[in-house]
Amino acid sequence: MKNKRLLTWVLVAAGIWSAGFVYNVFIGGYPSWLREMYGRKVALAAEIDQPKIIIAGGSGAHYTINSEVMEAELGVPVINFGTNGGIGLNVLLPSVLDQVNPGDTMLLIPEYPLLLTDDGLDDLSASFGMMIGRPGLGGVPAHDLAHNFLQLGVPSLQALVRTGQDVVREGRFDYYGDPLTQRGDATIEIPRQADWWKMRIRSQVSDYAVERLQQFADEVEARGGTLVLSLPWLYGSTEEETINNVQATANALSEIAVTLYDPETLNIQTDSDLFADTHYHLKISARVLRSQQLVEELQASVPAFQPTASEATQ
Amino acid sequence: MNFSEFSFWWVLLLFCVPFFTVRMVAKSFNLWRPAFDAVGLAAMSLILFLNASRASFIVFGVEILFNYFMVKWMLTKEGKQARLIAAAIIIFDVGVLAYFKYLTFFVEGVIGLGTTVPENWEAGFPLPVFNQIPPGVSFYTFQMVAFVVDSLKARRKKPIGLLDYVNFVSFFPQIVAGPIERRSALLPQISSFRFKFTAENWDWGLRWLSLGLFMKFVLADNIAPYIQMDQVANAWLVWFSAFLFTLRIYFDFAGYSFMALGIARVLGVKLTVNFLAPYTSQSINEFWRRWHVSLSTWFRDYVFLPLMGSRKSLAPAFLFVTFTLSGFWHGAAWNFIIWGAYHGALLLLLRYAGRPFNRFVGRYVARPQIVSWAMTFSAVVLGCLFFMETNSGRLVAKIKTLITPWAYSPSNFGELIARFEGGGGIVLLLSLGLAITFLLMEYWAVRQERPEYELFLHPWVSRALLGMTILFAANAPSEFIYFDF
Amino acid sequence: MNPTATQSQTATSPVEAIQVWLVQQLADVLSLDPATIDVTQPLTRYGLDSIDAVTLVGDLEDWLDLELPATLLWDYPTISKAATYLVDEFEVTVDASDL
Repeated sequence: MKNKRLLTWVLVAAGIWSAGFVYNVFIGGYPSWLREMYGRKVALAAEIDQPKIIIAGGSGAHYTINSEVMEAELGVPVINFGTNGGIGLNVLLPSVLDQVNPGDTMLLIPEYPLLLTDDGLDDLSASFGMMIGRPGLGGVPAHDLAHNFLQLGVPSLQALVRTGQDVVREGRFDYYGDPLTQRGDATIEIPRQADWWKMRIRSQVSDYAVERLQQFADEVEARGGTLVLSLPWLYGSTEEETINNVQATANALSEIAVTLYDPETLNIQTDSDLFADTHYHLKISARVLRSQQLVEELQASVPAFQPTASEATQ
Repeated sequence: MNFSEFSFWWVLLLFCVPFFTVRMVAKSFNLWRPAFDAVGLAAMSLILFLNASRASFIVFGVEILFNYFMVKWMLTKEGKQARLIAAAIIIFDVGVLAYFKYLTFFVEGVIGLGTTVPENWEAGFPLPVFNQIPPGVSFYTFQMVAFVVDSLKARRKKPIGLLDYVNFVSFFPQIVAGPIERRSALLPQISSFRFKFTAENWDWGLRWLSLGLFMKFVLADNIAPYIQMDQVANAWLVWFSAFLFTLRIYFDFAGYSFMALGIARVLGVKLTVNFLAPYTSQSINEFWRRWHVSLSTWFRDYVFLPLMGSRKSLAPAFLFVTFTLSGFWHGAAWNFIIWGAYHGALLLLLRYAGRPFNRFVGRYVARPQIVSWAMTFSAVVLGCLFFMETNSGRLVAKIKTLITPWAYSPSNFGELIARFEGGGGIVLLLSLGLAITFLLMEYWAVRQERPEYELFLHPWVSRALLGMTILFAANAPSEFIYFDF
Repeated sequence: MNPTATQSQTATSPVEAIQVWLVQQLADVLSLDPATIDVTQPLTRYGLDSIDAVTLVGDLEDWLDLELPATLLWDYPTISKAATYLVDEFEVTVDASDL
């Protein structure tokens, strides 16, 4: 009888936690949005059965590319595989590696936190791995795994209010209400509420990230692909510290693979008008500019995309 | 222990799974000695403390051994000699506390008032200077001091085992932020400790734990992000932030205390109920009977009464001094001293002016208790303004704002209302709605002369609280405020 | 201080005598009508504060000529409990004529 009473505690906790888990992972929370986006991108990539360009990175890739512009200029299918930088280098890289088929080009545009990391892990590493059915991906420690697993069943008042608003206003659960194009590009632009300030980059790429990226280059090659890197566009400071760190980062990345960036600006932008809600996310119009830059750089630096070379293969 | 940190629960789990497996297996082979339970509890407490803070653990280790052997020695002596040893222990304990907690304040805040203290005085100081107080030292020092005094007064000077003493002062649910327990209440429960995991203990433990979790993670943590410390010029916002802080600190600290109570109860130990619905109070006296009970009674028994001795006619002065000291205990800064003195002054004001005032109000107002409650609560909110603002410059600016009539302009009021717009406003409104419902449920119990938290401890209500905690817990928990004290 | 209050009731036992005395003191200190004081209700209910609590114990000590714990009225927070404790613990006897 008394033990039955204790069982009710377990039932209440497990039942409500499960409901929270379903909400977070499948209905309305930020995790569900990320999981769904990843799943859709996997499906879109699978539809392409010829050599392609895969653009990988965090939201600094997702919200910065117009794949159609690139595809039209390069004549090769382009898929935007940008997800979220918060999943960390260790999870990001294996989560895109599976998409590489022989002849593909993997264009990785990592945001700076991914490059400055000392352990390749970040806030969303553990939960993202679990959500895509690969718990522990990226070597997440057991402690973080358990913690994040527990949190996956906790929606929070804030998120529930947000979902409530979405349902009332738009009649749907989508966290960002952000449909993707056939090539995985973002279609919305979120305006910035806070004031702008120029971001500083206080250190250069970490030894850890260099090593991990070198390993990734080898893995991509083993699957018959080619890795190309690019510095992200950043609304940033042009003071010496940042310039030096970004330059050193560019030099280190160039040792691993072809690294695309404007040698004049190092891809540090000084016009905040190009940017949407964060220092990385671009406005829709700026995504076209960014894509054109990538096209030119690819044509200039990667033999496969040189205009003459591509004509010769036809 | 920091119950809001996952690592506490993780280490607890990592310890408990192998420990209780071994215990179960050993019991089935009849190899388990009851005394191993006490060793297990001590190991659990010390490992958790070590995990929480290494620096604090070393300090604690030294204090524990010093106190134990000194008290043991004291118990072999009589009269004046025993009292001298007791004094030496207390001076040592308070000295350690003062060194870690008050040194910087004393040099920069007090000596610095009169003369200029060089920027780098720390470098020339013979001992290392700490900018952060080791967690728990304020609380366990008080428990150790009380133990010395109570042992000195105890009628039967029975020697105490080291293991029992370690379990008494390091009992992990309460070591870092109380409740501060007394020898007579905790020692009998913890001597020759045995785990008593009965269904009843589990059930009651989970009820208190659910209540504490709800208060901390749903109420305190969802309100916390809306407290704006940097709003200085708008009187409405200054009041509103102080009001939110008043709610937050109660839910934060009482939530912590009840979690401690619940965890202890699962282990079979009953701790003091540290809060008794303080915001239902209708006088400042009553507030102090209901707020942080174990600290108030500590100050009463080990500061106020001994300081006063037989000079009972000077009681009002000693009461004021005690409250000022209690403010100082909360933190090494002027605002805490002011806060303590403010409450001491309020008590005296209530004593000498409150009774005639009450009679006056009683004559003209139909329900004078509402007036008493409102005045008491406002006084507590104003006190929280002193309490929350460690930056003296900003505190003075805020007080100036509060007494400036045009700081209460309609446009400033509009700015307050604007806080409630958008999604964030809904979260704040819902959190306030839950908080006020919670306080009304406390009030109902107090009015019915039932135990303050009876409604929340009802079997199904407490399960509902756990469910609501899982759904609504803020996903960025804030630190427990009392860990800084 | 000598107990000077006059009582209409006659105290029969020491417990009752102490109760009567405490009621009278409380009524004096808090300006209440002694008839409204219930000996089984917590003293704080009538507005007794910490200062009153210690001074009342001081007066009690003078009256009974005993040394009492200063926390008496916290540990035994009603008149009835305090009176019973005093009689049980200190074997207090009160001469009815003292009242």
